[in-house]
Amino acid sequence: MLEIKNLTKKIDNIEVVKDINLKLQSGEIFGLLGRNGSGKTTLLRCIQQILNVDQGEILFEDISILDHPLIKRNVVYVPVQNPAFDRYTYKQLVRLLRTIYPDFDVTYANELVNRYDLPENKKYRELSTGLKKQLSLILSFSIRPAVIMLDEPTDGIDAVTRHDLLQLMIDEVANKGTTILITSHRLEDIERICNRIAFLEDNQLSEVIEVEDLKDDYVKVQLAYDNDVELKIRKRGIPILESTGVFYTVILKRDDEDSHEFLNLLAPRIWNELSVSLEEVFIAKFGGKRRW
Amino acid sequence: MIQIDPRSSTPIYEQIIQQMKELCFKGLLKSGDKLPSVRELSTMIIANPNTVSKAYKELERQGIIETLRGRGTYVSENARVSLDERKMEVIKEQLKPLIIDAFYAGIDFNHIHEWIDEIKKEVGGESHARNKESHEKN
Repeated sequence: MLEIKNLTKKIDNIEVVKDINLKLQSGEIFGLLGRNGSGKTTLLRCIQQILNVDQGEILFEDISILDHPLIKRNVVYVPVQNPAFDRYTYKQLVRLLRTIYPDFDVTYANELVNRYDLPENKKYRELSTGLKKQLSLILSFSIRPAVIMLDEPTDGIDAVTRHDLLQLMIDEVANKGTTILITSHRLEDIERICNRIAFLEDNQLSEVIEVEDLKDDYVKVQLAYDNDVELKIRKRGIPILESTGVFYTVILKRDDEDSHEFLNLLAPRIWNELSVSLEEVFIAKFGGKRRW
Repeated sequence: MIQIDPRSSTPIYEQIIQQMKELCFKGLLKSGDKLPSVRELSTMIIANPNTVSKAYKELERQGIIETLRGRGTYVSENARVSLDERKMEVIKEQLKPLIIDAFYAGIDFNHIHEWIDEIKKEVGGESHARNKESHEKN
């Protein structure tokens, strides 16, 4: 499958992504998460070779994409916006893509366009944001790539279209075994459809987290203290999700015994453990830096 | 059929397992009933296919469902009788605060036993009626 080894990309001599290592498994949905400007899109564009890589390797089935550009056909990138499509109708886009990708599956594309009732004779730029995303997704899936990289496919989309899009992705993975690398700020979607995720943080990739383990690995603790201990907790580097009066909500890794002990020694009056969502882990991870 | 609660503290694959068991236990799924495939269910509930597959494997291991090669997945014969220990543990934990409340409210524990018998009668009677009804429909 797709493997990224020690990938570094510099823009104006600054490392935008740094020493990235990632190995996708066949038929998985992998979520790439991070704040705006953390380098997610840059990483996808490097994999797709829209940007030159300064250092590192990108392998598809152990063959270097950098050395064998044709291999790239197996990896399709769907950007947030697709202005190159603007002037064409669906039918024209199909014709265009067929010349680039000989294996383009017209029957499948037509079937999906009918299923979701998309206009065939309207120019791409005349479509709404939701329909644009849906059409890009359908066209990309119809290329029948092994790996598809989706940059914020469900962001800025109404609930009904989002539901359709998510269903389409799951369908594709379940029926065709396609591998999806997805970025999104809709963390509840990510939590639902991804099996693994990783965070881009300080231009580097964090450890990979199995989504199923998230609720076992992290815990949200509601605490109440008689004294003002906020500064102590913050100094210790424990992320505070919320603090109101004597109440604090923190996110802890379950195996982080030191932090557990530290909070316990401050003598809490209440220690209430609750389950976390991906969104809360995200806020705890990144919100902290902004505030202290 | 299955409703995933993303806010729940229970991981999605466990939610699938619990709800499948509940459906079997309530008789809404009967032995021999065909279940949606992993592909169908994951699309239906919008969950990662690996997650659904994991839930099905666990249900199969516990003897609730069985997969017949090339024919699909079915509710197995002994689905109704199995009650796993974990669920028992959860129910016991849920019962605890109620019992403690009752104790401090000064309620005689004999009353609680009576209530249990009452509820048992209601549930037993109802499920019996439901079974009869569904038999008549068939």
